[in-house]
Amino acid sequence: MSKKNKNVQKPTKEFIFQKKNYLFLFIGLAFIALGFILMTGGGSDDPEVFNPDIYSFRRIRLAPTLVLIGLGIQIYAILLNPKKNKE
Amino acid sequence: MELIDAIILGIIQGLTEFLPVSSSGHLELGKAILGAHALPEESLLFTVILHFATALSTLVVFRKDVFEILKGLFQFKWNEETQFSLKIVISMIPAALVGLFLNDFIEVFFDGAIIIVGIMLIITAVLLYLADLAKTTDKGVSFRGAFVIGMAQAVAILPGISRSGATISAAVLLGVDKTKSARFSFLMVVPLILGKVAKDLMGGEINFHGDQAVAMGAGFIAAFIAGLAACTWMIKLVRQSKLTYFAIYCLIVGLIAVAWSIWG
Repeated sequence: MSKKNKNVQKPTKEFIFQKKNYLFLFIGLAFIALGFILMTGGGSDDPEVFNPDIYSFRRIRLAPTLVLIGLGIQIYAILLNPKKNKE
Repeated sequence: MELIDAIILGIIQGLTEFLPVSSSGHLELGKAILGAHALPEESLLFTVILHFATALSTLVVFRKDVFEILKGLFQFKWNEETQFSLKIVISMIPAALVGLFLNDFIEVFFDGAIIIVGIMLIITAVLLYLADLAKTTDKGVSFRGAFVIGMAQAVAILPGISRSGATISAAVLLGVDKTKSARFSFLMVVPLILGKVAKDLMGGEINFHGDQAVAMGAGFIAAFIAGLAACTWMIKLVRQSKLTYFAIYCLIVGLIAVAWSIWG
């Protein structure tokens, strides 16, 4: 009897994040990964030769912007409280 | 960069962002002992990733507070959350001014001046000890207090002065509740870190090679987990007035540094 009561009173441990948080975490990660993929390349094979492609719009504007958006989504995913929406 | 280097650097960043031991001071000591090129070199991207990881760990620990602050802030009313946000902005002013106008002056302290690092570590030790002695109150951070805490943060740019140690001690010595002091200290740096991350990312100086991905990811995870643990631990230590352990550590390292620069 007392054992049963103890089991009932035990507080249930919940994960700090819900499904929705993880969904946004993965969306953010996808943006970051895409940003980094777009950032790669552009280096010159010959150290004596400068390749201006390393400073292309894709690498120094688009890619960092995608990474930044991804980081923003990560922050949103952490602060998101799905329980509040349900209430 | 080797995988193991990335993990070690991540753990160091995660711990020293929150624990009051001064990462920059230890870095200067490490350079003096091992030589300027002995430590693994961090790329700008790696630094950005590690800083973002610690900012994220702060956000996870204080997610409820940050959520409430943002919710209150976007009500566009003069409520407690708006006032707290304004205090965070005020606290950032001294460090921003130092960064803008005194950068060249501060560079001098990052030039292997071990005696200065030692003295600053001793000052950190005294501050931590005094913070432990302070009485328990329930007072919050005032606007004037926010500026004073901001000044402590600006002084902590010097190697050997711990940012978290200086700001928490300043707040506690102003009579602010210990838990609120730790909360303010950790939250006040988040906008600065995120701003720096955004500035560095958009600065056009970051490049990425596919073969760095694993090391970067490992560094990020290491910094994030170490940051979570250190942040939670530090809040507990401040609340229980157990900063003296760190005060003793800083005092010993500081004294060794001073003695080494005089007789070494």
